Amino acid sequence: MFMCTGKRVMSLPMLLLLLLFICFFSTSRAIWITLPPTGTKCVSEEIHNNVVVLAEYVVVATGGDQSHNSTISVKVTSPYGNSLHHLENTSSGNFAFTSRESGNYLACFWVTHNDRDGDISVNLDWKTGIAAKDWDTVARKEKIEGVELELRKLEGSVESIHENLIYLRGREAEMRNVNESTNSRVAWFSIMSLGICITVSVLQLWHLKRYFHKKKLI
Amino acid sequence: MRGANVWTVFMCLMLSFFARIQSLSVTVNDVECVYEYVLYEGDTVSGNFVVVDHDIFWSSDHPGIDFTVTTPAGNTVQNIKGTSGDKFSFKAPTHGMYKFCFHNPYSTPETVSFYIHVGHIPSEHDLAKDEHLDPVNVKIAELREALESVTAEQKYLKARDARHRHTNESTRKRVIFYTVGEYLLLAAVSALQVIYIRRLFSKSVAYNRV
Repeated sequence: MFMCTGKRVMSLPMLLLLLLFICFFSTSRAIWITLPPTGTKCVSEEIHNNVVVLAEYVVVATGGDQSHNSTISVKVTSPYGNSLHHLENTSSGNFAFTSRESGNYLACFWVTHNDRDGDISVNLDWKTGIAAKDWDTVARKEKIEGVELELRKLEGSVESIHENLIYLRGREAEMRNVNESTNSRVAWFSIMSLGICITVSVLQLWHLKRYFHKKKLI
Repeated sequence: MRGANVWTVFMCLMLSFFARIQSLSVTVNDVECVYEYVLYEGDTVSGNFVVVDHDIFWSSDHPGIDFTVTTPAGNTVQNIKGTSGDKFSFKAPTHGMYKFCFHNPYSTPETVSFYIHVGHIPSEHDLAKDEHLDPVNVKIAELREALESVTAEQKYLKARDARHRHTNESTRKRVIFYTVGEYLLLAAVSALQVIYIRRLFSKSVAYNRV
């Protein structure tokens, strides 16, 4: 959560107002997914190398029922199958990692204990790359605040756009190579197919001619 | 001065919660819904989704999925049918929990990569009576929204690139396997032809002159 520290001491009502805003805003920052009573639900994202991933999940108490004891289990796996985070029987949790491999990262949720009938909603806050950057420490370390911090965030956003563009260009170049090799392979394999067809028919004719000679039919 | 300081703090808080971005993939078997909370009425909700193919044999095998957005009141605000990927953008009529649903009309599971962004520009309506809107903060919010739209386009491009890559790799595998299979089949069929003709001539008594 982002906190902007003013240089002067704030009065109590203002502080309360701030806290109210914080509370109001902190409940609404992520997507909700519904878990069925049986079976797993997985979300995934294709992440390339060296990207920070930050995620937080909380079982949502719907309605006025505060005595929910529903728990879920989580498992996060890397593209090569390594388990990055595995928790059983919990109602909330978080995890963070830096991607070492490029590929599809999978986060799976399933219900271990359901206190009420029906589906369970999980509030999942999944951030990668620039969205996962800890601006609090940056603000504190460099002692910047307010408009300057916002502009710094925008600068970070622009840099990440630039990086993504370079990444996309690299992927496009890879794909172009694959396409061109497939194109030349199609040409070669078709010509070879013609060659094999001719060879096989020549062999057939030669073999049959030899056979009929042997059988004294020709 | 104190008022300005508090205002700065308040605007900081406001601006810090504008970057609500979710970019994920889910596997849709029948219906998959995600929910996202929209804080203010009038917020622009934008996003895109791309169906990242599983191995479809014929392209007519799977025409696409349906996408619906429902307001907290239950009205459908977006309805896109039978598509393999699209962008969407709408102005939220009310604040509250919006439901984004993907419906797969066929039994083969599809993986959908989606991205949803809720953007807010501070305006006069959000403020208390004795506070003034700082135009710098409005401009910063607009700039942030413009950058978010670029990011959204990039995520769309990235998802489409993933889909194209799947198609290309599938094409490549098909070229190799189907042509090698074709050669083997051709050789096998011609060998069978020869064997059959030999059998015809060796079994039939009428042609056998010893």
